[in-house]
Amino acid sequence: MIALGQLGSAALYLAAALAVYSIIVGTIGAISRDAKLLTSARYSSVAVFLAMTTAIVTMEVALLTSDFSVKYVAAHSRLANPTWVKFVTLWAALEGSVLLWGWILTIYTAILALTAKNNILRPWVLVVMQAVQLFFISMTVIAANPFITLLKAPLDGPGPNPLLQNHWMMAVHPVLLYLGYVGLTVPFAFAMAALITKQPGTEWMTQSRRWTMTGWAFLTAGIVAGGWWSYVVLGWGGYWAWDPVENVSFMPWLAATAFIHSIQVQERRRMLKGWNLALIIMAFSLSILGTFLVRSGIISSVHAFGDGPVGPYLLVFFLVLTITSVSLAILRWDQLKDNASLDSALSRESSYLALNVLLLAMVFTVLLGTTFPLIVEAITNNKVTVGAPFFNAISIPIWLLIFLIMGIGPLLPWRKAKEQTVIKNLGFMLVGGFVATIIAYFMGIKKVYPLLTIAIAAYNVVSLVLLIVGAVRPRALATGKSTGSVFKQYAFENKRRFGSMIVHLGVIIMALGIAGSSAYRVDQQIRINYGESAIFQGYELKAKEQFMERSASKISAGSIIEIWKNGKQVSTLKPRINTFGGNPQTIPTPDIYYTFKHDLFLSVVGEFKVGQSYTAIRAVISPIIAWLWFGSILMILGTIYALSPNKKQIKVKAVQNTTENKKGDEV
Amino acid sequence: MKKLLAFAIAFAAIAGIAAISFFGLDRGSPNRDIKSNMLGKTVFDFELPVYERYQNEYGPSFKLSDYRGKPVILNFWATWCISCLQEAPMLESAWQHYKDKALFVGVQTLEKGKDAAGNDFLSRFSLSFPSLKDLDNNVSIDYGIFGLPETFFIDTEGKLFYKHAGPLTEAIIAAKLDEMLQ
Amino acid sequence: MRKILFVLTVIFSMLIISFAQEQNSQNSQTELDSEVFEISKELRCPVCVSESVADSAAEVSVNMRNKTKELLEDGKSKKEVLAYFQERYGDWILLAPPKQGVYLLVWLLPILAAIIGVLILGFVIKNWLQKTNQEVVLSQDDIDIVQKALKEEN
Repeated sequence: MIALGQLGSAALYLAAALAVYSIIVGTIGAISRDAKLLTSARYSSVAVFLAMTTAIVTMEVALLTSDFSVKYVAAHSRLANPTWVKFVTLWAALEGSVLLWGWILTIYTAILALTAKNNILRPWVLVVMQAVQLFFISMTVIAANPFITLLKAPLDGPGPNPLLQNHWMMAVHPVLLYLGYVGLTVPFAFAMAALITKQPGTEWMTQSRRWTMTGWAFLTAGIVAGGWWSYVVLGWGGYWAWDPVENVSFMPWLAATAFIHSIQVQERRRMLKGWNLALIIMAFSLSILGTFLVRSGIISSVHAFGDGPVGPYLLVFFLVLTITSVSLAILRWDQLKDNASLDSALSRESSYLALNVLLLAMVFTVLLGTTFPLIVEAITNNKVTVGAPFFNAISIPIWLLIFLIMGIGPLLPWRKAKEQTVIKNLGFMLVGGFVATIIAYFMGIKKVYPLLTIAIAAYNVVSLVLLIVGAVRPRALATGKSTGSVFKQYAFENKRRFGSMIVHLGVIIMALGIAGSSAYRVDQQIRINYGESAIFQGYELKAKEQFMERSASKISAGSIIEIWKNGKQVSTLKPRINTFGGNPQTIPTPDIYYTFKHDLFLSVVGEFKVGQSYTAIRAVISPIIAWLWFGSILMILGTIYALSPNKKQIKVKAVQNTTENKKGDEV
Repeated sequence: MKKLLAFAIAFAAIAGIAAISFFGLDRGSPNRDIKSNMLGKTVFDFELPVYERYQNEYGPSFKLSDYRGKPVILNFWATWCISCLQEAPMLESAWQHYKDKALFVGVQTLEKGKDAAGNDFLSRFSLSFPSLKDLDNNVSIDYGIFGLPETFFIDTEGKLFYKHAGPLTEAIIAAKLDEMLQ
Repeated sequence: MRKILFVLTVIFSMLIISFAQEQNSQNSQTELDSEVFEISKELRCPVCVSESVADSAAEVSVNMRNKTKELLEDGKSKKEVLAYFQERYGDWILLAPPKQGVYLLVWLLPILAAIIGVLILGFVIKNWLQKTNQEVVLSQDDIDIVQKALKEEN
């Protein structure tokens, strides 16, 4: 029987060899238009996927059977851990997560190889995907091989980083993020293929649109999942700390957001060809640059995996990637020119342009802030920190401007808006925002940013209402059907547009959640003797006793605290300190009472000794924080809705098209 | 012209990112060797309890300003700090060497209530220069401690002459003492 | 429309009620108040990898929060508290770099970038508008788009 380590290594080498083969054959085939070679390249993409699947299954088997002869298992797993922790240990450390990333890439590539439309782009899309894939596979082989076999296998390992085993969300968050990053690789590959084949029209983006949207949704979900994880695992009741590792996932998200808006201008108006290519190149290279920044360990981040040979490897890939794609764009400069023109500054086009500017200003801010300590050290040898207060100060105004455009943009028609209509709509929206602000002010909200957020949220909600009313009312009047049924039909037939409205609504709700939970957060450290109680923001916190729970993999010690409100017990919270066997690090783990109105968050602070007569807890009230999660779920659902195909709808549309075509002819 | 401009910008951005990245890779992970604002200035004074074993010689509490006139080498340590364990034997031998020229003082910090462990540490390396207990980490805050060990070289007038982050060597101690006494 | 307005008003009122918390009810058991955490959010935990003093569970962070409380009780302002720690730990301790010297770059460059972005935007829009005024010829592309739009749009 061969050892798992050898099997896994063999699978990796095979995958690398097959990827090289696929690139060579694919390139020759694409140049010579040899159908046989191209077919071979396509099927070898599937073979790469199978080889990588073998590697990943081997690693999972090694983890689940605790085969400590494999170095990765010995370094990051532990016998006593529950099965799910063993399973997710695959992506709890560097080598494994690179392997996972590579594997997800091979899934996408294989699906593309089997399902992409057979046209001039396909061979090159596959070559680019294979090239990116080869990079990840060779990185696992050369710089981060998880299958290195130990001559002397230890009897047990230390287990993964305790923070990562503390919550199941950690099982989900990295996978979502990788699905997102890899999702951005697909439009990038299409863009490159378009440049290579001199087809920089809209074909590449319409074909990759679903992938782009899917990638964007996964990236969104991954970032939010990371925030949720921080919230429920770290002892401070926050969800976003502007840590470099968060920033580097945010940058490609911002660029991708600019991209999915901006491509619509090209779809409609055949403008911004070069610009959209630049955006997707930027989004993809930012995902690689970000990975480099946190994985190389050159920036202090809570979640950095420390330095190693992976850093230089990623940097080289970033440079090859950006230099190649920019050079390719130079070569194709003449094809990228378009006859851009505007009929009016007051148009959908210009609102998208403005959005582009703001989102890129945001990208620039995040990139500059994240790398600034490095820049300062290089210039002056001084050490400086750039953290949350800086990012908040700069980004809140930019976001408010983005929301301003988000409200008016979708109401502007393409080409040219009628000034009167715009003024009328804007009037409604501003009145909505103004009234909301006044009400809020008299109901006790006096802080500037929350007031502005409420104003801008109301402004946006009015905008959404106007959009729907504008679409539904004329139809209802024309057909004599009820508004409800017309609305249903509208939502059903315009999935892309209606989906985007849901996403925007989600964004607004999220913004309110963020404003409320940060500006009106109450944060106290309270000391309660066991048997006594303390009043905190209308809650009575009764400290009952200490508790201790042991399982094979962890020890939890904490306080049992009953939560009473208006003389009734509403919950029992058990904030605790977790210690995972084999690791001396103690992890304060909060417990949360969730309500729609606010969350009550309790976490043990300071010393916690067995037999102590009191408990010191950090109590946090975060108003409407649930809105943040709810809003993000809406964003994902909206994207899914926009992407969902529907057989019925297609049939209905086909029937309508025939009638509408006639109308169109008459016009 | 536009073409040139667009690509000049793109390549300048790539080159800029490359430059700081290479700088970063060359430097490695960021360290915590941060310049102290006290350099050349009178250091914060403190009064801390002395470990029982040194009380005969230094009394129950140690006030820094009482020891002006002789350079003080102030070393912050903790039992969880691996570099401190490695450094301790060297400190003792250096102390034996330079006893007449300077006073060595250890401060156990960032581990409240670990007196017993601290005492074990002191006996394990039979450290004969005095060590103090920074109970509320106030001295650690005053001296801006980023990590352990950190060592402060204080001159005869009570001004900070040099701060060293990370493990010391006897050569550094010798060199800095010489400079200070010149 | 009325229904929508009604629903909106209800949601909005709920939102406002949620926002309006009773502020700062303190009692004898309160060891540290929101203000302390507010301030320590601007300080970087000196011994952690990358966390603020407010977020960190490190021993020194606990002490720094207590110190912040003491300083506030002595009548120090937020600025003075931050300056107290800056004096001891250097600029590194501040999570927002001071607005001076080379640090000004990080504050000004994003604003500069946004201004340049807006200027370019204005220039581009102006340029493209002029183009339109010169040539008003419908290309086949345009006609396609119009027809597609007529089909899809409402």
